[in-house]
Amino acid sequence: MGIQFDKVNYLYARGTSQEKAALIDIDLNIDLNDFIAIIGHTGSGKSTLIQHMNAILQPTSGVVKILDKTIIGGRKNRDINIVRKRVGLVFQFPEYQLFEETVEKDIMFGPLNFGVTKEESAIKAREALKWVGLDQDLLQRSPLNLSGGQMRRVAIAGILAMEPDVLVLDEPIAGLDPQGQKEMMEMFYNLHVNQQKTIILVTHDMNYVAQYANRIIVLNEGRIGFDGNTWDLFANYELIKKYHLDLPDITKLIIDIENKLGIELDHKINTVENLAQALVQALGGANHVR
Amino acid sequence: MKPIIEITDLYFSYDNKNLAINNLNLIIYEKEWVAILGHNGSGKSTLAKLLIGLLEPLRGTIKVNDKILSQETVYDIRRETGIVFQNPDNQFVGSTVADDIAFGMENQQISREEMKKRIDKYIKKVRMEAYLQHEPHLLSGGQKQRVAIAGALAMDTKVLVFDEATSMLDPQGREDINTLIQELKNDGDKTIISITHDIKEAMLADRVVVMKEGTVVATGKPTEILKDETLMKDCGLDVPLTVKLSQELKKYNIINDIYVNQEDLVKSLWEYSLIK
Ligand SMILES: Nc1ncnc2c1ncn2[C@@H]1O[C@H](COP(=O)(O)OP(=O)(O)O)[C@@H](O)[C@H]1O
Ligand SMILES: Nc1ncnc2c1ncn2[C@@H]1O[C@H](COP(=O)(O)OP(=O)(O)O)[C@@H](O)[C@H]1O
Ligand SMILES: [Mg+2]
Ligand SMILES: [Mg+2]
Repeated sequence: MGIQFDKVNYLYARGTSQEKAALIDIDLNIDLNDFIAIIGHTGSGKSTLIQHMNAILQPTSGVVKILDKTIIGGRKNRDINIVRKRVGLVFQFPEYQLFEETVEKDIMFGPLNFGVTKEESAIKAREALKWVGLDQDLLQRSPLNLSGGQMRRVAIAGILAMEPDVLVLDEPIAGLDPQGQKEMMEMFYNLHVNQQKTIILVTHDMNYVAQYANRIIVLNEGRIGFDGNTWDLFANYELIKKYHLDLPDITKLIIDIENKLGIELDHKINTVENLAQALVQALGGANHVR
Repeated sequence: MKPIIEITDLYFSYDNKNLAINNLNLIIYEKEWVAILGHNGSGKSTLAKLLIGLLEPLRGTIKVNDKILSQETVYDIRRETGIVFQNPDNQFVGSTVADDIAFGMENQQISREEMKKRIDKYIKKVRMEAYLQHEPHLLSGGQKQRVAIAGALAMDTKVLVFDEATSMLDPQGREDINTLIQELKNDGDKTIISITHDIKEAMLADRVVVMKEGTVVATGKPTEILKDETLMKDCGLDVPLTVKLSQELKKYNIINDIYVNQEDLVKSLWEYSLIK
């Protein structure tokens, strides 16, 4: 059980001059417990795709199965609310959607909405705040007086408080400074490892994709261009070129070194420490005399 | 070199309590490309808004092209300073993409033919020509940002400020915009201030300015500033991969210097491989 797409199509502005096929014949099978990166050009359909994963958008045609709920395109589907609780979707710039007077109320909003008691929602709010690495004394502050990075964490805590099995995030680190990006990615990884959350995230940062994702889905003009193992994609230069994708910085550096020095290195090397060691070996050992 | 922007003893507060800009001094020269780095909340966007007179300083002066920014000069100065904001959602006014790009020019008494020419030119530069008649609010975030950039370029101002304008773009989009900025620079008559977290973008600049807590804490050549690990970490930033690899390789005595530039690092490795 996970999330399955079966021949899913999605049209925006159907029947108007601006009609746009944002998803075309999407077949996709997502297992629980993966860490998945969704990448692709601006306008390739990433946001549209992930909004189908908790039925915020419903297919124009085709079928989406979300856990045990089936969403059939072109029909009125009932009782989809439960899906939204189990698959938590964090929109792009979620901090713009904070609206309550206190951080606590904002985080409690989701659970309360799904019928959890006030007392229990308050407990969940505290837990969720811990998961996103924020201090408990923020609870009574207004969310609007926090820094951008803190606000985003509060917004994510609001989704986590519903205790979803799957966390879907649309460009969650865009606009954060490098330190903030690093902390946020580590936070998702911890949720993945310690809370067994399935993580599905849209990002343009190939360095983090290489570091954390075990599977990549590439979207291209509304279709799936690649779906598979992270390093299988990064080793496939034809696809990288075809879809104008970026390689991780370290992979680009490795290729650069190979070309200039005429040596061969392992393209899957993922840390500077390992790259330095590989270079020492390839160049015939460390130099102790210089 | 002639200064085009001179900022002296600048202070600003949103709430009369915390200083978002705290005694900032900075001179930017004509035709210079300056990258401003700093962690979230260090005051970069506030500075950008002060520069175009959207906010008024608590104290201090901003001179643009020898004119002191004030209520009287603000409209003149805005005609010389284009800006692309961080969040594209707040910068649209037109009902189509084409109208939107035209809007900025309408305040500048530009002929219709010239307007049309510029719209065509810049919409192509940002690869959005297929969307000219679309409604801006229906575009995706990255598409909106491209349109906003085309709009700012079409105004053909002396100074251009990009406030994290590429942070929402995909890698191809970033490269397009960086190439575009490079072209503008080569054309040679614009001063470019780009606020960014993207090291690659900062590397292309003539000069890097690092901000922290509302003030300038360092300024210098990209190759000098970006290898200062203490400074970078202290400001919520990170050193480039090339610097990290240099540090590792130094431990093995394979190279002697810390390189910011990838070409220089690879060249040094190549030289080592020859003597080995
Ligand atoms: N509300 C909308 N109305 C019409 N077209 C839209 C709307 N939202 C998105 N689109 C179009 O659908 C395509 C896919 O958009 P989106 O899923 O946002 O892409 P991505 O997230 O990959 O940038 C784009 O061409 C975009 O212009
Ligand atoms: N509209 C506002 N009202 C109150 N405080 C603000 C506002 N905008 C920014 N600030 C505060 O001013 C400081 C500088 O913010 P900003 O200039 O946006 O930083 P940066 O662009 O470097 O991330 C931060 O502490 C921020 O919280
Ligand atoms: Mg999107
Ligand atoms: Mg800012």
